[in-house]
Amino acid sequence: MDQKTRQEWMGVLAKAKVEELEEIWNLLKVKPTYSFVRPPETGVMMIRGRTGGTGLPFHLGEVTVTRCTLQVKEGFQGMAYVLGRDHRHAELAALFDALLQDPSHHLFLMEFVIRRIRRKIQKKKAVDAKKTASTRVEFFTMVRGE
Amino acid sequence: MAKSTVHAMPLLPGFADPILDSQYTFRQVLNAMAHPARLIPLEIKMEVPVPLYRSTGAICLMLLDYETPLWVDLDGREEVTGWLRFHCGCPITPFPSSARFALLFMEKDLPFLSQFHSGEDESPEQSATLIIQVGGFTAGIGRSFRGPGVETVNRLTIHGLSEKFWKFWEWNHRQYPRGVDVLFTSESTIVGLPRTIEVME
Repeated sequence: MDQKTRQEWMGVLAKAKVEELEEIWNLLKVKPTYSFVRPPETGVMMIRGRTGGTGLPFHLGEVTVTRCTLQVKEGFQGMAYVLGRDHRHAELAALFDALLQDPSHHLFLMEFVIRRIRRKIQKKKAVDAKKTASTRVEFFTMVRGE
Repeated sequence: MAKSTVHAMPLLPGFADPILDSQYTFRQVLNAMAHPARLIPLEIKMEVPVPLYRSTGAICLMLLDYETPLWVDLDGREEVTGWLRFHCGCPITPFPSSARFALLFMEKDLPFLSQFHSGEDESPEQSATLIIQVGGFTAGIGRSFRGPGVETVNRLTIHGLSEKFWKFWEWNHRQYPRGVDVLFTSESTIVGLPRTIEVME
């Protein structure tokens, strides 16, 4: 497992709905025991953007972020940074991040959690993009003065 | 799956109760600085990375943040610097002169203490604060400490502190209003030594 793969699943867990994660947690027959390294805490982060993805970075605005770090009994440490102030979301995302690093849980979670949620996210993104596209207005440059 | 995915040394948690524990630690550090050379208890229930004392760990968690570069006299002890970086977000600097705080463990000889920033005449508050882990304290015997916060004279022996320190202190005290401040720590006791204090044999 490389850094990119982990980044990707952490992204999926952060974008998932807390109800989806709670549901999977409830499905687990053996609940892993864990302790907090840093309990969920909410703060503010400055988000930066680049015009067109290539311009100079500028401050886009502040967002509320909740983060959490925990450790499961097997020694794996999971971490989560999620938008919003839902402590339970950060906790569950960090927990699944830890479990995904554990070879005995990895395949199951990858298949039934990450793939499924990712599909949902992609679907929603496609729908949103389509809706947005239908409101698009084309501006044409008028040639004046001739 | 590669082993590297597990944190090489699992990180230890910080304060059990971040608000009350840091308030208590702040109060005790304030007491130590207001009453120089007096033994001030600092008892925190917390697991800290070796070779930190619990008191030293608590002071670091309470005082350090992203604006306070820290200098540590341990080479490559990732368990300490990693823990502090994670919980405090403080930068670790390799240059004593740019540190706002310094952690000294007395495992080797003391570094050249005058390297630490002692502030400017216009901004003496910019100076560094040294946190020095020592072997322990015995009150009532040893060197005498005089100055603001000490009614007449306090006598105190600091175990495991090299003679070099007192030579440095003589010089540091003379720099006033410039100069560094020191917090000595043992497992659950701290002693403050602000720059205003004069120490005699």
